Amino acid sequence: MKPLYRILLIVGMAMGVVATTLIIGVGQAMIMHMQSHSIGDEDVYAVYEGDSGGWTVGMPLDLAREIRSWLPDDVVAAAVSFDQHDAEVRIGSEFYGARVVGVDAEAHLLGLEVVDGRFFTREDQEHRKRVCVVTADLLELFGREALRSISVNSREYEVIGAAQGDLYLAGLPLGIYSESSIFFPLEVWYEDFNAGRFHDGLIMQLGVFAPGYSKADLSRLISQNLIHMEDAPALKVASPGDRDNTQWAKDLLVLTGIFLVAFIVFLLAGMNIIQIASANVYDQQRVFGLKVALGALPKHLAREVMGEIAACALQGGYLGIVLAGIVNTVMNSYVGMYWAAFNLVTVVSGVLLALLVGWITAVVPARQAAKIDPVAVLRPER
Amino acid sequence: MIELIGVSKVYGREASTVRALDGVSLQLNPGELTAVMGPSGSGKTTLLNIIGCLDSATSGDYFLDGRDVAKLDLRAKAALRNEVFGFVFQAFNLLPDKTVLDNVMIPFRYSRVPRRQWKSRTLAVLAQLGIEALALRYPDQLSGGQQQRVAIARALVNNPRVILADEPTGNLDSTTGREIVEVLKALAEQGGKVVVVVTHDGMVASQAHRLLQMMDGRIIDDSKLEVGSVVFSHPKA
Ligand SMILES: Nc1ncnc2c1ncn2[C@@H]1O[C@H](COP(=O)(O)OP(=O)(O)OP(=O)(O)O)[C@@H](O)[C@H]1O
Ligand SMILES: [Mg+2]
Repeated sequence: MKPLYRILLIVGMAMGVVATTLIIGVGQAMIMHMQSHSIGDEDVYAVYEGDSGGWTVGMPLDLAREIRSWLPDDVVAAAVSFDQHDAEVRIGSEFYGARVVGVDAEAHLLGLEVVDGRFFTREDQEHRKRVCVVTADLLELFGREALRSISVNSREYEVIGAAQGDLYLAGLPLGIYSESSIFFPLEVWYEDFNAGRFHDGLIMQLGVFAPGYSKADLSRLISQNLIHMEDAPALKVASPGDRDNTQWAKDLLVLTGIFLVAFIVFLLAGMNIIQIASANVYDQQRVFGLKVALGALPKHLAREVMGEIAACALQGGYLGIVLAGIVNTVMNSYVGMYWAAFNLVTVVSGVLLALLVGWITAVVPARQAAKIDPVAVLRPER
Repeated sequence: MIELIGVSKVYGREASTVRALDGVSLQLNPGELTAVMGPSGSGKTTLLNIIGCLDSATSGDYFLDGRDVAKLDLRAKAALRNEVFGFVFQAFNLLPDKTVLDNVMIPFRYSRVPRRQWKSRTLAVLAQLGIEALALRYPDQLSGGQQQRVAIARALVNNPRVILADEPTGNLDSTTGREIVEVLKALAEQGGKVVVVVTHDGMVASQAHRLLQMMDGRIIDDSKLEVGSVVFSHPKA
């Protein structure tokens, strides 16, 4: 094979690998992105205290409790605190940078699903039991044995369960569910991590599960009650429908664009491989004719062509992984939160897919080689 | 061992057919160096290709060791080309990116010869042709005569019974050409092989035991040559 052909083939293969990893990676990211849009039940609302700029400022626990008392019996509400960053969490013998969050026992209604043990109950909360629930990720990371109990600021808490989910209320970027969250009964959280100052505005929001109520119903209910308060807080109601869709749509557009570009690169790479491999067969037809004269069967020629292309595919594959790594770094800064999709699985499946494509594209030139008429190609040109 | 009876070969179809061979009957014997001469287009290469099972006759019979070649399948013919026939071409047809050793080993790739024998058998053939010192050179590092010896070595490596050489001296000067013919003659006389050499060169043809003259796809003369016969060269075009 001519060195130029070899280089072009290797580059083509590398492009193929980069494109396939991109296609798989971005494809996964697109799916995740679409799913993120559907998160959030229509019947879930968030009540929060916000300033005029729209920022969440945090409400005191007693206010959260009062709001809850205003709500009808068929509406369930659960308060959620900001997370505590400076708590010293020790799991087993290690200190671990876990996020310490206070929630009400009903958090499961808002998307936290118990996967092991149990969640704490209203009674646990009322009796200020030193219990907590970890995330499924933490359980997997440390194991059940180490997570019998944990210590926070040198106090012991019994771990009674593990939960996972998307506590993604009403479109507010809650961030209370992270892989390393630990959930505590809200009162315990205030008492132990905020020196019992229940009036401090540390409640991020009240998640409200209100089937059959509209956002307007809820707003009306709250404002009716606020009228009777002096120095009434600026309470706001948010619903999943409020979510800002423009950023989401922009992200989707970018992802789709990258996906399409990757797909076109992929097609071009494939055609490039077929073209060059065919040109190579054409260039070498006398060699193939000679080999037939020396006893080669069509299948031998096909195999040799396949082998040459496979060798290039392998070298191109290595080059492709390196390039894909660079692309990954670049992509990280663009599509950040979704780009977890680019990982070893993506790379390996990308390379395998590229090899498969290389294999398929090799079939065309291999058949050309097998069809060569030795008598015609061996005839000396005059 | 090789017997052709009324073999014809027609190329193309209907309107523009070329009768490259026209009822050729011929018997070839071991130990005999046969030269084939004839003007360009008279069917020499076609004859060689049919004998070597690279091409098949349109009509007529071809018996190889009594077997009807027309009845053989693709695989059987490939095996014959690999084991029974050795081809040598005018343009030396060596692969430029492979060493002499690798070039000569090519037929083994398509044979059942175990891989561990490849190298030793190849080196033995190179030694037989006096070019074992060139084993690791590339074709472009060899003279024309050396290249043609390599091509002959490749034709010989699987120990065929028939050597088919199409203008093997066409690209060589007369001294080198004579050496190559002597190699081929020795293969017939000492190796007991059937050797057929297509040539335009009277000097080459005069070394043969037998001379076939062709014209328009027919053998117009088939005669034994005495040692020291003079054969006139054919004009090439
Ligand atoms: N594949 C083919 N298709 C069509 N015609 C062919 C083919 N091969 C050979 N011929 C024709 O058959 C005739 C015999 O060709 P062949 O190559 O056997 O001649 P030759 O005696 O070897 O000539 P030269 O001395 O020039 O090599 C010529 O007229 C040639 O044009
Ligand atoms: Mg010819």
